[in-house]
Amino acid sequence: MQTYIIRRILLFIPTLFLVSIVVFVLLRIGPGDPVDIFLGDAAEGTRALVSQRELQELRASLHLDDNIVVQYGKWVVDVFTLNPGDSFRLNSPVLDQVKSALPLTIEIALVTMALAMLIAVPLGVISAIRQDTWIDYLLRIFSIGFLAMPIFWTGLVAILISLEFFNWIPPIEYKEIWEDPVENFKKLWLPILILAINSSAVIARMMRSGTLEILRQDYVRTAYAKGLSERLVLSRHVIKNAMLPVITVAGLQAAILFGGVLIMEQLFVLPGIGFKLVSSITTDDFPMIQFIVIMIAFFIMIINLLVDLTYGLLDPRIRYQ
Amino acid sequence: MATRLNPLETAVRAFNAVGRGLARLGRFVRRKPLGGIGLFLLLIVIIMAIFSRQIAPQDPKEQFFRSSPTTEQPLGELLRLKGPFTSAVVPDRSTADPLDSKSVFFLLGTDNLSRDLFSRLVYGARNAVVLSLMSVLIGTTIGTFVGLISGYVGGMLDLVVQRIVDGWMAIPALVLAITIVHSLGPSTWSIIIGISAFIWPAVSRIIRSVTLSVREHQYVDAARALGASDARILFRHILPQTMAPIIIVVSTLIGAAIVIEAALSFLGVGLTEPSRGSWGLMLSGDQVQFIRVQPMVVLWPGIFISLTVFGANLLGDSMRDVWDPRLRGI
Repeated sequence: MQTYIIRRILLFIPTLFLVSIVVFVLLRIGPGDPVDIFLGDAAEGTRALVSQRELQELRASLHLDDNIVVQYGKWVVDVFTLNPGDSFRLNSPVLDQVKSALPLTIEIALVTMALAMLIAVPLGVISAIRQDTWIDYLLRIFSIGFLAMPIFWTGLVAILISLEFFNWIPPIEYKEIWEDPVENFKKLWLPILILAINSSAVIARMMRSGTLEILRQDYVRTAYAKGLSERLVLSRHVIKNAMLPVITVAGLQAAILFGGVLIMEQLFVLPGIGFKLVSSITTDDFPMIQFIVIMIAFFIMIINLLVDLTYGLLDPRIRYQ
Repeated sequence: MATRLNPLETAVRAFNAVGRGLARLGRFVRRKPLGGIGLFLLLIVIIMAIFSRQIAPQDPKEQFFRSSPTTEQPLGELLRLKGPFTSAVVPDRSTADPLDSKSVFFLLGTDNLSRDLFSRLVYGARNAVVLSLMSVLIGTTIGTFVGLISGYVGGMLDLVVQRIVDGWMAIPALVLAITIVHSLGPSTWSIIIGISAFIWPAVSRIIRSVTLSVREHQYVDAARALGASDARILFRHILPQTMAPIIIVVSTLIGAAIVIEAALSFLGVGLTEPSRGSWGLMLSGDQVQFIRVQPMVVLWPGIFISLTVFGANLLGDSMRDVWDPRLRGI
């Protein structure tokens, strides 16, 4: 078990290197030039006024004139020493920016995942044990329908409904959860609910098919035959086994969920990691983009590792070497 | 030497082939009515995409204004955010006489920039179909190739390729797409590359796993014993086995591609105005501000996206049930 975890963590290193190379190269092959931000919004017009020499100096001060391999080497050393430099645009260390944005995104992601599980698992089980009844059809239409709706549109419709019918909009200002939990909740409940319903659509489908498969197993028939109540059979024998594929999907959902969080942060103007990332990308803020993407990749790999380890807890037959 | 067929025989054979195809399709639709619905929805979108010019009643880029100039608006009142079933008299630009006017009818009303909403939705279908098909095609081709080679050769190469795929998949699809599209500059091709960037690793994983099992089959050994080259074994004996999973995955990925394209435009890194119409763009920025005035302007594009993705998902699910039940849930 320990050696398995250590080996998996060691495998993180080449993967993270690849992620960093991919991002590093992607940012630099395009026509976008980060010095544009320093020239302000009127970059097109003022460009002629700024001399080429000044631009060169600016590039040099940002180490953008070095060979790409040298740039990469410098950056890797910086990241390993946990000092990923300053943001081009905001004139403050990347680490501070990330630290201020991270709690919000983690809060949204965790609450969403928990809520999605709470919605999806019962729905999937009910749908399976009442297969081909009206409730099963209703739940299946619900889940396949929500799968098809793009999340930003669901968000827009939710805002429209809350505005038109309840005359309510989320508060403009964002308060951190330890500052003012009530305000925090007011701002976040709607995006979290939308994300959770969206994720639960996928999970409920997996839960349904997993439960259907387990219900056909011999040991479930035995459990019924020895006179256990349906509740006991489900809770002791069915749900635990049906959860295995669901956990896998929940892990895969992590990457998709981050995409959703990013869009929700944009739509509801929440200053989280996704919001920071989009604004960094649109302004060519290389240090911010690089660090945030590496960090997200790292989190996603950790989640996948945790998912694999959970298998062992749920199913003692699975052993790791 | 092939015997030459006379034209009649060729026609009869083609007719029979089409007939057999339709019969198979009919059986599929009867067995899986939901798949039939999905196919129907996709066909509507594809027809809208191919015949946009014939279906769209107006030019999707034209901004309409009433031909009644006032002092405030010398060009005439702009027909902004009109409701559905509006008709108006507008100047006719096709004739030389500036006083000529014609009557136009806006089936679904107009958008914030006084353009015909229905025509833009129709052209949006072309945009969605072209971008998603192209990116799925490119992504699937690369993914198939990588998966085949990685699974067939195995060893060190497989290990290295799989690590690359791992790293690539650790970046969320949307983040990868935004980065690529912004870096390459907003154009149709950069969007296609951005979307196919998340398709190839997923496809390569599936193709690799199929290849791993197929290459152990006896008929592959037999082909090798007969002296077939690696390329021949890969493309004549293994590739055909991967076709069912490829088709199934493609139908699912088309839905995802359409959503990602729309999300890119929504986030402001995809297509930009002026455009002939993109469903994602119609949901972004300027249009959204007027959601209270004319909610349908924002609701329609979302309905079109949802129905298309819904169709692709239904079709994919049904094909999976029919051809390859093992893949259920991927």
